[in-house]
Amino acid sequence: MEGNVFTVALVGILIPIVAIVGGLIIAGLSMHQRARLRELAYRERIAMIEKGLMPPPETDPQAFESAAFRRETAPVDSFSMYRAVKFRTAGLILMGIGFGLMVLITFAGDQPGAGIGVGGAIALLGFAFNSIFPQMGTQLELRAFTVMVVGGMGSIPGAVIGAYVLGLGEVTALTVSSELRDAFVFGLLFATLVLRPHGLLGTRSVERV
Amino acid sequence: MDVVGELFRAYSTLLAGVATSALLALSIWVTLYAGQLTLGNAAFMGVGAYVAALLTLRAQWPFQAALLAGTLAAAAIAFPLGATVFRLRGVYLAIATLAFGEMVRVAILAIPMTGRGQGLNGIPPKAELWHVWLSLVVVGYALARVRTSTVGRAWAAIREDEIAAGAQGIAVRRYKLAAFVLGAAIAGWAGALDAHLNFSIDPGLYGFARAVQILVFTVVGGVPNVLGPIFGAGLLTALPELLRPLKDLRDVFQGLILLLVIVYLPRGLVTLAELRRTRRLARIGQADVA
Repeated sequence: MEGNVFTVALVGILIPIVAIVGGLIIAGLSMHQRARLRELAYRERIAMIEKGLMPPPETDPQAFESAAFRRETAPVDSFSMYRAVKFRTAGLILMGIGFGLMVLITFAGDQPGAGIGVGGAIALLGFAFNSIFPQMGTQLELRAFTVMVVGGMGSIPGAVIGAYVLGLGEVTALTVSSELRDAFVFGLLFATLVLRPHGLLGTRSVERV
Repeated sequence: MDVVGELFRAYSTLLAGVATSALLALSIWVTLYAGQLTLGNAAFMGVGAYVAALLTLRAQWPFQAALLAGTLAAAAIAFPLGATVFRLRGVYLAIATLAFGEMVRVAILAIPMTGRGQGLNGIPPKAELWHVWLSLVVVGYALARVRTSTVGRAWAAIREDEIAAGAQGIAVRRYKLAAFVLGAAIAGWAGALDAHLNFSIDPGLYGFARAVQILVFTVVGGVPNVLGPIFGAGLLTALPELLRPLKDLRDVFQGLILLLVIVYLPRGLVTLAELRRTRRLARIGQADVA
């Protein structure tokens, strides 16, 4: 049994490392590229304004989330600067903040966190069930989605409450019938989205033009 | 012995697979073109497959009628679902349709008539290669014509800006629902054909993995026009065969190709020609801002 525990612990360390490195490479590459393309689009608009031309209307949907933007107008620390990236790309470029680099830095901070979190959770699961396998994450993927939606996106207490609602509900459903278990998870997900799309604790996003 | 005929027979499964994948990719293209990310197409495929297969297998319906019934069943489910779900946008819409897909899978597992986890076996092999390819040509041509019509332009307007489209007098909800139902019908048709090509179906075929796969076909191929999803589906269905010499590294290479396409051609393979324009924009941008 000693060897078994040792192996699981080793894998528990290896998985986060692989997740960190892989996540960094992939996220960095894709985010940087996407950020670059977006920056280009804005630069083109700015160049047009400087030439005295009228740029075409903005089609970036995120630019319309101005209700949230009003709370984020004063970028002071790096995190609110990151959120400013989301809400006002053009303004950020005009202020001289390197957009692509900013996104890259945020992701560099973000991915190891997620890697350690996921790796740690998987390692604990491995200890709990005495087995690990490459596909063990897939059953949890959709449940994690459900927890997030039920609790409310972007709310940490919501995620915890959502996890309890889902976990206890799932076990209760299991006492009735084994098929009801999955039905409960996805029924809950669907019902939440239709009846209360912002979840238990999330904030309702207001759309403004 | 003619070599061409031999080759054709040897690869007929792959050729049929390419065409059904392309049909499925076209089914999700319709909603993507209208700017709506939905992930219910695998479930609609499953509905079409199960309805058609049950009708030919248990009720001895003729093949053509069963195909039609499968297609209509998928569309009939999509209509009320779309009416409820299109209050949502973006990620929420994707998650809701995904949840619906999983509910369909659970329902198939729970109803005894569908053979539950074992699925249905011994479905009469009525579908032939040319059926699938003919469907692909017809659906592809029809969608290409729809794209340039009033309906297609309404979808494009909704994709670019929903509020502006509404202000222009476009019935946003109705057009979104139409795209959704049309996509579901195409997926149902593809599923019904696929069931009669492969003789055997089971609920695992229509789960989350298939939903994502269909989306990947279209995203890799590109949404700007109808050729995108067909190219994407063709490439990604044939790629595992083409990469066969790489043996164990096959999946790694396939993943790498996917990654490169998505990172460097975010609008899909059909936008390859626009790469140079992006570079030119980069130069103009630097000159003007610096």
